[in-house]
Amino acid sequence: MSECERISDLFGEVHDNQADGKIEQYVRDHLLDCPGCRESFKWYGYTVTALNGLDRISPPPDFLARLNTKLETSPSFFDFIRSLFAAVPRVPVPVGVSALALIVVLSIALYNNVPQVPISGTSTALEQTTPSPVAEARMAARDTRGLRAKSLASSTVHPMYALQARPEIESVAHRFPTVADRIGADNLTVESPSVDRAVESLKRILPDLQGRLVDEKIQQNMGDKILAVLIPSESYGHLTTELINHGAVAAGSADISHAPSKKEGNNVLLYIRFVHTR
Amino acid sequence: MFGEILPEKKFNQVVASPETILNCLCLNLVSLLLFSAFQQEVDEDRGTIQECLRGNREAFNVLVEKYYKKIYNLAYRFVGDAEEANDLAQEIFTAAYQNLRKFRGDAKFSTWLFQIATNRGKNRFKYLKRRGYFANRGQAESDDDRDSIQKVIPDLSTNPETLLASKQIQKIVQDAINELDPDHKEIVILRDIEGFSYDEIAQILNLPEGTTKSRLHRARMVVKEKLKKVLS
Repeated sequence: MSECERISDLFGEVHDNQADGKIEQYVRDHLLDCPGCRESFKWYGYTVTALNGLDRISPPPDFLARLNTKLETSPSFFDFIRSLFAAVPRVPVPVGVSALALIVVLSIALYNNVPQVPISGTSTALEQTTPSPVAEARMAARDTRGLRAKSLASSTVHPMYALQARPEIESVAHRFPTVADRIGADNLTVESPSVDRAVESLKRILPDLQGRLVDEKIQQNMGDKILAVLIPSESYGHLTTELINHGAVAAGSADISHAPSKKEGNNVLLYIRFVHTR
Repeated sequence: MFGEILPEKKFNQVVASPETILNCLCLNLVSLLLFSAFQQEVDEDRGTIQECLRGNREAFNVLVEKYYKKIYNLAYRFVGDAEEANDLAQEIFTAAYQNLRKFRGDAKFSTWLFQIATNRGKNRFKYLKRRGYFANRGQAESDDDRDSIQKVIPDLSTNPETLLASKQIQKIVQDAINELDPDHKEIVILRDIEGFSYDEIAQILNLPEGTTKSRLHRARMVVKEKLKKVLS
C-alpha cells in the first residue's frame, strides 16, 4: 500500500475531525507535498458537502391522513404476502430451483415411506403385507428369477395362524391397499415350504369367496404349481391378503407361461404360482 | 493489634466515627444515583410510548408527528422516488405501531424506529433493485435530460457551495447513492444525510464504530468518483 493510499484512507477521519492531532498533521503535511492527494481530498470535501446539502424531501400533504387510515384498518392478507416477499433476501434462480426440486424429491420419498397401517396388537403380519412400492421394487430387483422375492411374513406365518387372524385382516384390508391392490390384477407368486398344503388351503377358501378354480398346471421340472382362479372383484382384496399371508409377493408376468390376470366383468381371473421355499 | 503498632492517640485519630461512615455511604449512594442517571440516556418518548401501550392511539400520533418528516426523507433517499418513499414510510410506521410491544426500552425510541426504517428501507431497495426498478428508471431518462444537466453545470471553482446545492447535482448525487450497495448506502444516508453520530449509527445498525467509519469512507469515495466524473 502506497503512502497516497494510506492518506486516502484517512480522508474521512480528517474531514470529520475524528483524527487525532498527529494523524491530522501527517495528512496535512502529505497534502501540501502531493498535488494528486490534494485534488482528491478537495473532491472528497465536495462530495461530503453535496451529500450534506441534499434537500430534505417533504412528505405529501395527505401522508398523515393515509397513515391514520392504514393504522385503523388491520393489515390485509395481500399486505402480509407482499411484506413477506419484500423482506425475503434474494435467492439466485438456480439455488431456488434446486431447493424446490429437493423439496419435491424429499416429499415424494417421505410420502412413499410413511407408515401405512397403524395396527396394534396381533396384526404384525399385516404390517408386513403393505411394504412400500420402493421396497417392493428393491425386493423384485434382488430376485434373480423375478419370482423369488421373499415376503417377510412368508416363512414365519403358518397358514393356520394366518386364517385365525382373518377378522383383523378383513377389517384392515378394506381400509388399506394390499400389495396386489397396488399392482392391479396381475400374477402372484406364493412361496411355501409345502406347496400342496398351500394349494389345498387356497382351494378350501375359494367357495367362501364365491370363486372357483379354472385351471391347474404343474411345472414338472421345478415342482411349482400354477392355479388360475376366477373370483368376484370384491373378493380380490380378501384373497390376496390371504395369499400374502401364505407368502405371496408381487411379480410380473414375464416368467410365467400363462397370460396375465385380467378382469372379466365383475370377476377377476387370477394366476397364482406356488413355489417351494428355496 | 493496631494499638501495639500505633500510640493510642494516633489510633483514635485514624478510626472514623460511625456518623462519618454513614455520611460517606450516603454521599456515595447519591453519587452513584446521579452517575447512573447521567449514564442512562434520557428518552423523552418513554412516557408517550407508555400511553400508546395503554391503548391510546392519539399518543402514537404524537410520535408520528415528531418523526414522520425524518422517516420520509430517509425512505426517499433509500428508494429515490416520492411514491415509493411514501409507501415505504407508511410501512415503517405501521410496523412500528404493530411491534410497539416488542420495544423493550434498551435504546431510545428514535434509535429503535430508525432501526426499523433502515431495515425496511434496505429490504425495499433490494427488492426494487432485483426487479430492475432503478435500471428502468435510468433508461427512461431521456438523453436530452442528461445533456441539459451537462450544460447547466458551470465551473465548480467559481462557487462550489451554490453549485453543489443545485438540483442537477442533487440528482447526480441521488443517482450515485442509488448505485451504492445496501450496506454502504444505509451508512451514507444515516451519517451524511440524516446527520446521526457514529455512536448512534453503531447502535442503529449494530455495527462496531470502526466498520461504520470504513464503510462510510468507501461509500463516499464511490460517490466522489461519480461526482468527479460528471463535473470534471
